[in-house]
Amino acid sequence: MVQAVIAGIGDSKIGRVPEMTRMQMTIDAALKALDDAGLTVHDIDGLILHPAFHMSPRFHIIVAETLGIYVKTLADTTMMGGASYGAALERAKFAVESGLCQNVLIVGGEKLATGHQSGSAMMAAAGAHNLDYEYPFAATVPSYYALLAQRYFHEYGADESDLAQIAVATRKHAARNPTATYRDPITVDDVLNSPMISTPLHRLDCSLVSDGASAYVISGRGRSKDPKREIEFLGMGQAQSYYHMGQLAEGDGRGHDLVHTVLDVAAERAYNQAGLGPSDIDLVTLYDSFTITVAVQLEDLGFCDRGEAGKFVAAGNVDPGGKLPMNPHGGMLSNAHPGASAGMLCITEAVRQLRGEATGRQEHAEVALATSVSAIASNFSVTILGASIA
Amino acid sequence: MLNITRPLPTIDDDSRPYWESTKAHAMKLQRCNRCESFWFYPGPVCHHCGSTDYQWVQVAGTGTIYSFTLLLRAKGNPFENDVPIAIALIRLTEGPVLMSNLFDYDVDDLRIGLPVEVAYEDVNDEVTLPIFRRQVNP
Repeated sequence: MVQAVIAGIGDSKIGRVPEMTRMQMTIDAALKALDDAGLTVHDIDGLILHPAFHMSPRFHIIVAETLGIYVKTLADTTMMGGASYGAALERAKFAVESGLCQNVLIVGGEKLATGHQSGSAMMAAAGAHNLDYEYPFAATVPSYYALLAQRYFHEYGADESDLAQIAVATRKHAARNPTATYRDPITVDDVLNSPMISTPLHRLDCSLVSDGASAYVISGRGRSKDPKREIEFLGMGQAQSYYHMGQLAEGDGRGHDLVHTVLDVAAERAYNQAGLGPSDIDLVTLYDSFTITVAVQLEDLGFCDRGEAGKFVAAGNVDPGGKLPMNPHGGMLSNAHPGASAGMLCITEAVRQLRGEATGRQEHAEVALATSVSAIASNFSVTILGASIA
Repeated sequence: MLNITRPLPTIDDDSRPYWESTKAHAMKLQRCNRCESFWFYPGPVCHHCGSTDYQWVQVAGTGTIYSFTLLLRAKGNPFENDVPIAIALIRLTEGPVLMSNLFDYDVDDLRIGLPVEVAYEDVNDEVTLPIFRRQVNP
């Protein structure tokens, strides 16, 4: 069996990018990833792309046509919202390991900041909201996560300042990323004084909206121009539960409900495959759509006890140079959130860190864990990556 | 009732009896004849055991708040000027949890566990939504 690796990564300009179209950014990221791997479009025989919020389900074919990738033995769109790109990685890995493909390109991009469509109404139309039984009651994505946060407080005796710690810690990392959108340090009071979006989530508990595109090339080990920069897959796991909040709340009668997510199942698969546990992870890049999303992930990944994420973060554990640096690029809370491809930034940052190429914000990183999340913290992928063995 | 510019649900053959029951101000949900569970949202099979043997049963209209949030900012949505809006997940006495709005509330009512009762907002000729307020006689 072929060993699959991440052979190349590419990010377009990220942030507010009015001068580029979505297609330009997508192609830019793809070409950067190919160049990073030392491959060309002619080497690509698999393509996965999630069309995100307002493109046709055939957008991946349009990208293939634009790039000139004529023959593909795997062409897929992982229609899983924010969890798509973790799921795509697993599919690409299987394809390369099995010999179905030689080199798979995964690419995605979106313009949530300067695109011509924006706002919740667009997201609702694209399925981010449940149109029949939830959106009529004025549900927005922040209010969904606010409902999760409110229940989390009730179950654990946590409060807004616990979540605010997560925003504060993430901003410490963003200060070291020259292209992050927000870099000025913030305090817990700054978070609590920021405008309330939907109780208990303040603006600084919520991610940005950004433009951006990213890409990665998955290949067999040794195919890239510099195998010492190839990143190993140590373990992967996915788990999905539900979509309507009422259904999540009702739970499965086996320990899962709104606040107790199925991330534990995805994590167990990833850890078991890797033969590792939480204490073996040097660095995490977690999908931080909201501070509450981070809190439940830290807990369901086993880094701290349930209900203790705020305290874990307040103690400095996820800070720059901490025991478990989290989102060194500044995450979606401070760096960028380019829509459905946002989870890709978790992967590209983890790769940079593992390669020792995170200039200005390099952490000790031999084993990194990245997540991607969608629906209401109910669809997950976990990817444990390792530095090259070459 | 609430003055919210509401996006409207689509009524289809799976859900029509539910929306007819709310229009009649007497909410009915499907109850499985095999395992006796109620389920929400409406659909062709029991969410718990997969049976297609069910009947539509009027619910008590009571429940408790499972979670809540007061929506204050909703830019880009049809209801952006109608905030603040109280959104809640309500656990019905029969078991299912559904999303709705609270009305006639004061700030002390926004707590998990508050007993609530259903009322009906006629949005238009076709659509009536269940909304909830503090139970008057719990």
